[in-house]
Amino acid sequence: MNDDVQRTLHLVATIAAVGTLVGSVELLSHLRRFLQAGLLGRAERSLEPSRVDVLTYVPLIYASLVSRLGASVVLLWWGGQVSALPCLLIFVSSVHLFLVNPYGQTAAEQFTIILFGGLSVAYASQSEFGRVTALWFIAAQCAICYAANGVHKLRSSVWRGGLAMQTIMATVMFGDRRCANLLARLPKAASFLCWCVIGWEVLFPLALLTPTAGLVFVSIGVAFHLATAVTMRLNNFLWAFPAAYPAVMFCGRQLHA
Amino acid sequence: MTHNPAEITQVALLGAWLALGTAVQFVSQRHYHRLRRFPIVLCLTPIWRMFGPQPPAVDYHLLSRLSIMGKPTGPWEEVPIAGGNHSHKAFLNPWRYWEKTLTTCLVLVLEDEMRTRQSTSSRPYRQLARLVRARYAAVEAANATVQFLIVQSHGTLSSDPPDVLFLSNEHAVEAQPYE
Repeated sequence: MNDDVQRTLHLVATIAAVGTLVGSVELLSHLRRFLQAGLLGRAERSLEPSRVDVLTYVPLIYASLVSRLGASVVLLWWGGQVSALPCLLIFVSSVHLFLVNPYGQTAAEQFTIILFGGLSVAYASQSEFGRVTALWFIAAQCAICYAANGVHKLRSSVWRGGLAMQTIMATVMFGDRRCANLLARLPKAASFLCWCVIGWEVLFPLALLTPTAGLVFVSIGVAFHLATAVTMRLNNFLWAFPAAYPAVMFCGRQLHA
Repeated sequence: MTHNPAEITQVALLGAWLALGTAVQFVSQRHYHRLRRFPIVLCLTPIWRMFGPQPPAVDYHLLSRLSIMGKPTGPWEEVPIAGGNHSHKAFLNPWRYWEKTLTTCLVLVLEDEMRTRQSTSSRPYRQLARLVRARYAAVEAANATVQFLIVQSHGTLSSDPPDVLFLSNEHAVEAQPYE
């Protein structure tokens, strides 16, 4: 088996596992709040349970979270020798948690499901061809995600007009008062940042074509997700999307080999 | 170069997933509302619209109040949604799931109300009703009811007053079957 393929898969799984570990700890620490508020789970099965009722059975939610946590630890600890099982476990438990509470899921959780779907298939495959296909799948999903986001922003007059960053930063939910004030004082910088985000997202598929382009887009991506983690508290995005970057870089290398 | 059946199956599976994931990006807003009824589809093939086309410009707030028959109606109390802005949240943010759940429920109730005027039968509405009932679960008065209110504020750069967007029905504090 090609070392580059193995190394890339290992790197994708490791970065993604940090994200699922953090996410599982976060949800476990607030699970009681959800259960007390009646937002998640049922203490007892209802008399006529629907499929969703069965999924919301509280011990099943705990089992899902704990198994996801355990599988993440296995991937981080024994990353080099893993089989498809921990990846499949994270995939199934993430889908379960999504169905139990679709309203609590961010794009990072949705992308994590795609990542672990691809990784499960990759590790289940015995051939190099199968693993390379899975890496291309992960990289392509990442490119589609960024490009679609960029196109939707490009359609918006608020983004094109350079007001979007300032508007987002002014909200309590996603923003930061200091950043909002700074961007309000520097409208040209705010507009430049909006266009940087749009340009980087729309053009991201180019990262798959050459190693140099890959390095440029991926470096900007890491800086971007670090910035959104610090200013917008989107900490799960910091792991979910950069986890696909080794696959993106691999595609560029393979096309130029 | 020949490929065995397992490899062909794998390529077909991942190829179909990728093709569907690409196709849903072209779904219109109307069809997107229909797709919401099938969470498994949105789970495996998400529609990527992070902060676009319209970026979030407002904050939503959930308020609740208690009424007990024969007594004056209680004051509106805000249900905490966000857990404050701390630097460690860049790496560990346990409030994230809670914030996202409540905000999405509030937005969906408002969207359903605008589209169908029948938001009270929707799952997000029932979730919010359950949440506010649970806040007053310790009240042991018969005929006690709760109500919730959705309010929007306009961000830290605006001096506009908050707008009241939605007032719920009254709900008995005591749990109803199958709610």
